[in-house]
Amino acid sequence: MPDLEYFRDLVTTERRAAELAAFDGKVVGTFCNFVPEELIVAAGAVPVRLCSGDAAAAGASEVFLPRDLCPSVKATAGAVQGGQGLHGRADLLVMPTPCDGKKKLGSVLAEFRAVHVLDLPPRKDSSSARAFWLDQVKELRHALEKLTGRSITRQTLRAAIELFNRRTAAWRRFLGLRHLVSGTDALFVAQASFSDDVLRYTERLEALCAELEAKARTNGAESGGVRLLLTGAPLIWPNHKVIGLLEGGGGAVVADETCAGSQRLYQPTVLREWNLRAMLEALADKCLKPQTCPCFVDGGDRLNRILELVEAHAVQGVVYHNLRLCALFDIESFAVQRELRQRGIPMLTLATDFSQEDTGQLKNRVDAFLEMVRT
Amino acid sequence: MAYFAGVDIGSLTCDVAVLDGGGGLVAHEVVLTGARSRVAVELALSGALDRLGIAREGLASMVATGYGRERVDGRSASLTEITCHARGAHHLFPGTQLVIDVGGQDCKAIRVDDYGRVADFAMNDKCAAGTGRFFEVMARALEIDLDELGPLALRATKPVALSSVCTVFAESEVVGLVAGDEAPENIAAGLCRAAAEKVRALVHRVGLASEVTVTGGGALNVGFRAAVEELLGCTLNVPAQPQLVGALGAALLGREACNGHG
Repeated sequence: MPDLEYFRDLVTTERRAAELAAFDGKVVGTFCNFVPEELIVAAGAVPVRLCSGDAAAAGASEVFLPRDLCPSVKATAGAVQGGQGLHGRADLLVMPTPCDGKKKLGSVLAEFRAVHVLDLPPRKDSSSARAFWLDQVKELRHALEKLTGRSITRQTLRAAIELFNRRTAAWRRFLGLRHLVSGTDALFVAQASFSDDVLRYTERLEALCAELEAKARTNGAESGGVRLLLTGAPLIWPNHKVIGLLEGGGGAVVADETCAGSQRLYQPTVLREWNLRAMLEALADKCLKPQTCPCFVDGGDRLNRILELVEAHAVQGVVYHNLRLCALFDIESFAVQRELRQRGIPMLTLATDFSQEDTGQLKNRVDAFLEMVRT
Repeated sequence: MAYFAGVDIGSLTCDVAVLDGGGGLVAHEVVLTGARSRVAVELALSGALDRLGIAREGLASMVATGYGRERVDGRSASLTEITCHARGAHHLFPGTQLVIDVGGQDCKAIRVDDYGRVADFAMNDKCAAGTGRFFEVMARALEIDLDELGPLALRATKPVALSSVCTVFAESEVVGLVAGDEAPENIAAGLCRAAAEKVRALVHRVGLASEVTVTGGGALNVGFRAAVEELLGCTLNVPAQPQLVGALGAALLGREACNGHG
């Protein structure tokens, strides 16, 4: 059996938090997929992605945030305010502004921790958006240098970009093999990268790929469940409720289009010249243009990505996860449904939050969807 | 003679249908689920089987459906009520293309193919708007019995427009209307209309069809049916016992599995 325990352990235990508690350098907390982590490593600090799926932390945030707010924003805020584990360890939080909740979160969290807000442009395909975003990335560079007291040089940034590109290459290799593990385990592998040391993670992922390739040669049989694509709002540990129901009911999530799953590590930084300016530009481009977050005015590429994945993985059904009060994913679900219907691909929309009270109702929908796809 | 049972254990009622080898409905029973679903299943099953004079072992199959389906002892299979209502409605009205099922705690729009299989479905979110529970709470606020709500609504001269279909807020609104001396029939019609609006939204998610069958306990409410017919612009097929359609579908699917087709 392939060794997935390493990845599950990193996500579900406090092991990494304990390791970083003993580390005497700087730790930088990130959110979403927009933060160029390469800059953090090049400045000599450790990046950890702090997006949270913790229901208790979401509840705890209601002391200083409204109840009717996206559970992901609330959980993240509650965890930072609570100050436990990795959330307590971060010396600086880098907060992008994709949605209303996250736009306001920077100033809310500044009461508890040092925050650097990374403004996102409303569009991503215009030249002015690109210039604006490049300025944001440059400002982040200076903030990080100030934090660690180390300059980001041509050498350190190149080394960091090459390391992250190696991680992306390993991730793409893994995506070609992920049908050999459950979708739940694939999420664990992706989310272990939130906090793990980048080099150690990359080596572990490469070893996992080698194991899976050996397994594919001897026994390439798949699970045989209904082949599903998961898209919509991210499922972040411990909120793995929806994928648990999908795979527990006989589905196999063979692909996902989510920012805490496949999209997390998918994009490489592409450049020809290794000078500092070209590196910053390429890094900025990587963190903006290919991101399929529904926060942008121009969002057709997310739909295209879903359709590509449906075809590439012979998907039998799409499951669209809406997080309650995230209007952005919810609005796009209608267009995605329309396109999929035209292609004869059934889609199930699930609207939920981090609580467990609707598990029975969700299970009913999931089971009915699987029954429908099977017959 | 082989017998096939379907057991539909929902949040409000537990329904049992028993078919004979030819697929004819030979016995049925509807009991309130109450707080203990196992007791309700026993009561409903023994009621139906005693009438036939057969023992549990005499059943060739027993398919369970509804929210409690995985807690029915001795079942040969369990299927969701979405699959079962589609099959049951197709059996009763073979031209059915769309099923509107109004159950105790949820409301569904189900597109059905020519063989009675589910082609697509949509359900209400985790809230009671437009469900059997919604009507129950509103009847209480109007101080009438649940089965009086529909006939009362049909006598409305000027239905009120409710601003909320949330069960909690709508109840407050109804209490306010009652206190303001609004005619009960106009309030009842407003409630039926509000629930029908929720159904219309679900129907449009899966696509309206020409032949529509309404099932579940909510189908007994004539005022709600009239409001749905008006909003969708069609006449609804109404089974004689709409609550039994899920159990009937379950029994049919069990029979098909035994006969090696379906």
